[in-house]
Amino acid sequence: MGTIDTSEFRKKAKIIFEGQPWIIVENDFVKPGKGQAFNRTKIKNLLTGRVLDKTFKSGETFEEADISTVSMQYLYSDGARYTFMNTQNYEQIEISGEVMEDASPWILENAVCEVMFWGEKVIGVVPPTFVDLVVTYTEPAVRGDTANNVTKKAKMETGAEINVPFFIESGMKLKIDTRTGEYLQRSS
Amino acid sequence: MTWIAAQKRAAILHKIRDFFASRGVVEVETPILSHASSIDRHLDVFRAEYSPLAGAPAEKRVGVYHRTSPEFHMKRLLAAGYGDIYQIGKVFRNAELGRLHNPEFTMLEWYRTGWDMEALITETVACITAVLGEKKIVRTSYAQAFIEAIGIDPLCASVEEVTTACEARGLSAPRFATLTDALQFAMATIVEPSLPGDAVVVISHFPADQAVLAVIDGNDPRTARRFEVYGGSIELANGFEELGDARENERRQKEENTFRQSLGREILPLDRLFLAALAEGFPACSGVALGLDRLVMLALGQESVEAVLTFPWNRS
Repeated sequence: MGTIDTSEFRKKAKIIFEGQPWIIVENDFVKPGKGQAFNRTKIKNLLTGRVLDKTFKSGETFEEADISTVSMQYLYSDGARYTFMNTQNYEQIEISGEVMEDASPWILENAVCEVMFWGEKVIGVVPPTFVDLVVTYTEPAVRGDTANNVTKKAKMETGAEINVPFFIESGMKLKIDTRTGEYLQRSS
Repeated sequence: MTWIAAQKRAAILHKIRDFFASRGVVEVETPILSHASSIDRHLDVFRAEYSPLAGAPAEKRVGVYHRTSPEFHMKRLLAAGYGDIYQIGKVFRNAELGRLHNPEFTMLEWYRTGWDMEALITETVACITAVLGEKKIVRTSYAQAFIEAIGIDPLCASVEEVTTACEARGLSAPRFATLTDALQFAMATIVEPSLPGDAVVVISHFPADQAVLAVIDGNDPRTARRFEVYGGSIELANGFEELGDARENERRQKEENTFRQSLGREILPLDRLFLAALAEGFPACSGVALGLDRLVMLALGQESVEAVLTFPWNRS
């Protein structure tokens, strides 16, 4: 991988900082008319998700982080580990439950996810943006609870719990936005 | 820039020219390309070449600089006996690109003969509010602004104290070579963002080490008669009660070159025409430079100078 200097900081640029891979979330070039230049940034650690405010002197250089994403299909899980298959070359890999933490509430077998690698190491899994899941349990609607914007909890087949409108019943299939975990509509 | 923004920008330029015309300040134009550049430790210049003949060999071509400000030419006019003058024109600064920076931008710069810093501060604020409308005005000193924002007096602080104060605010500060570096970092990352967003803020009496070309204050020689004006936390203008002494000008410029060398920047030639003009006699005066694109940006409620430029850098 090459190097990145502060003038090449963009949103989503990935750098190695203190031995770990970080992504630039925000970058502001700051320079008093008569003073030295800085880059005021917000960076996110791609291993821990920790977000840090960090100001660099303009001109500092960093090793570019070798981050790649591969489309992979989720096959099955033994509870602790998740097995995925590369949809291009059919190779299979196992991903730990820890790395799956954000994705596992949203995916069923055969879901195609974006798996993020740092070199050879899997560091994150992004589920499909929209998923269709069946409600396994939700309280039956009660007459009178028809006011707008009133919601209740529903447990989905993956184990995720989300807020849904009152008219939703167990057994219905719902479309969900996995970025926010919000109910969008009934699946057609 | 949208058509509506372009019309508003033109109206602001008109208003500024009216402002100066009504005060008897005369608009001038000075060269954009120059044989010498002003010398600032932290400014990178654009170079160009004059060729006496089409296709002249390298040894006959002459290197010239794009101005980083019209300061030296305007001061030469003052030394030649001109009265109060202003200029609206493009200036060029390399390696500066961001939300509030475009490598070529429009500067409004003016000089008032016989005026001290206080008088020019008043007029600078009047010019800004003529464009932005009535605003709360906050007047403070560099030391006071620091004490309020980080509890440290910049006039007697150490590099370590400033670094510690930055880190205490969750900022991982770089390693600073000098107190000035540390202060500028704290200024840009803590003090400026803490300034009231709805006010026009004047900060005067910068530390003597950041005097640039301002005179040292007679009452407190630790400070210089230099001021900056902010629109909220955005730097708009930088002004000096001007240093007229030719020898001291030369000394400070050589010092800037020494800093440039230590920072890995090229040594720039001294502007002998400028220094000679000062030596012939320079009137007591104060001058200020104001980033016009930023002022227009604030007047139009925009977040970035891109919104008030017809073709920002990446599409120029």
